[in-house]
Amino acid sequence: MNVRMVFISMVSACLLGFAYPKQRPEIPEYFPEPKHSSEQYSDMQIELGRMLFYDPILSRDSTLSCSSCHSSYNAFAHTDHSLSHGIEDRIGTRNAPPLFNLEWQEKLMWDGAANHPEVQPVAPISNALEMDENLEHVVLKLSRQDIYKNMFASAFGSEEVTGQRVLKAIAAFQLSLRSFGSKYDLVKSGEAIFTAQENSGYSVFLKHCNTCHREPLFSTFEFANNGLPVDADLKDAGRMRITLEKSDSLLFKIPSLRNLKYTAPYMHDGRFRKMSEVLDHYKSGIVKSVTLAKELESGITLSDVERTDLMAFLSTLNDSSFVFNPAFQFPKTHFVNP
Amino acid sequence: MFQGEPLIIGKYYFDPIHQDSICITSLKFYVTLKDKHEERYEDKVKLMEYDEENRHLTYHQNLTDVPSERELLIGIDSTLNTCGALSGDLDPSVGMYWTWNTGYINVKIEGRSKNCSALKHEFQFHLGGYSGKYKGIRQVNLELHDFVKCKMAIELGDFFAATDLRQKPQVMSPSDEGNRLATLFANTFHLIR
Repeated sequence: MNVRMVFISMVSACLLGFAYPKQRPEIPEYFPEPKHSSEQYSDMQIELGRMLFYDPILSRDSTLSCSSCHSSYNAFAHTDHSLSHGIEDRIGTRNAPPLFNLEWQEKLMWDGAANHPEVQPVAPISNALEMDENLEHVVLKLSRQDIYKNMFASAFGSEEVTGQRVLKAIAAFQLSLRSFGSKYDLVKSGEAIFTAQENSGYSVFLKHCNTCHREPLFSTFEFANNGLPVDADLKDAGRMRITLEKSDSLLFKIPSLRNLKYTAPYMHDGRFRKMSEVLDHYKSGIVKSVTLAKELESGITLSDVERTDLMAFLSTLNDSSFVFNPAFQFPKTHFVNP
Repeated sequence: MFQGEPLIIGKYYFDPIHQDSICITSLKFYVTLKDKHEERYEDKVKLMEYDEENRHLTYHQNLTDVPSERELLIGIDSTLNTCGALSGDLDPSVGMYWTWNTGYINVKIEGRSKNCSALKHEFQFHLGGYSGKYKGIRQVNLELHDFVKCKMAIELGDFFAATDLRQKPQVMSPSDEGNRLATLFANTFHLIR
């Protein structure tokens, strides 16, 4: 899809005193301290980041934006696609991970390749199987557009487009993607109560899952080998590719269990399309190896009732207020098709 | 320089150790002269790019009056590698940043040689790394005590005398070989009296 966009100047809105809505809800008291706070970025920087996130100008042939593989309606994952897409219908090697609560993730991407949110966008922009572009050229392309010059001036104090500013803006938007509006969060703040089945599922979760998928983020965001058989085609060594340490072989980032309703397929290579397949894996599919997480050495065997209750609890982690938040969606007020 | 001769981009030089003819097509590296106690010093980092227009690279810095507290560094340390996107010469868009794995490329040495076993006889050494056992930053071990203004030369002949382009013509990620080459490159710096 070759999308050509014409921008409507946002600057006029600024001049008219239009105030962009605050996109950052207050962090709940039961959340830990963020690793990378979004509070350091202004609302204009976030808004610029949102424009860049949805603009295919970041890709070499201007056909693919970040949102092509990170859809707001899928909690910024890519439903029905096990592996990420690239320009010219290229297929990547990993499942596009959902994007939310990144403020609490010290390292980003499935293998932790990115050590800071501000430098993470370099990877998909440059990857030949994804956007196949380079940051220097992105800066050049953006510098030619008056709308972006104005946006950069509003966000950073001058019209100059630099790699640093592009990266900071995209990071600002991605870090603003906070998701804690689920039923679980309402329960934690005393505004709702679990059903009996959800409560039972919560107990199952605490007993079997909470060590790695620790609440309230529902992940430690550490790296672990969960016993998946190695895909014969992808031969993905996970974090070892980054650290070159054998002890990191087959370790991948532990994903959050929030928003599972929207983020299928699951795992780093999207091999499981349903949660039932995930639970089957933990029951009987685990491949033992030196780096297997010790919590999984005996697998996780649940009764049918426990399984059903757990799924009921996990459904309380879905945050429709996040998925349908217009502040995170395509900025149609700034883009219009000719 | 290459074995005492001024380095000219694209010119072939003879390496007697490996009986090879070597030409350099690109030489870039980050250099910093700073006081040892400084932890954040991004304003002192300069990207040096050697080419026909820049055969004499210059670097100015204001430092303390305590020469023994100075250090000359090649490359970027872990602090600057983990603090997000930086500006100027450290902007990730200047082409000295790894894309598949976060981190600066401290040194780029690229060229061709007769014996090089890589495709089109082209070698590429991209040296970096900032964590674990693969830290690419190096201190240049020269007596910096008495200079207000000094001249240095880089003798790439020393680098290639210890690098067999038939065996390992490409380093594109932090590694044992990358560590070795980083040290080797730092040792090519000489003061010119």
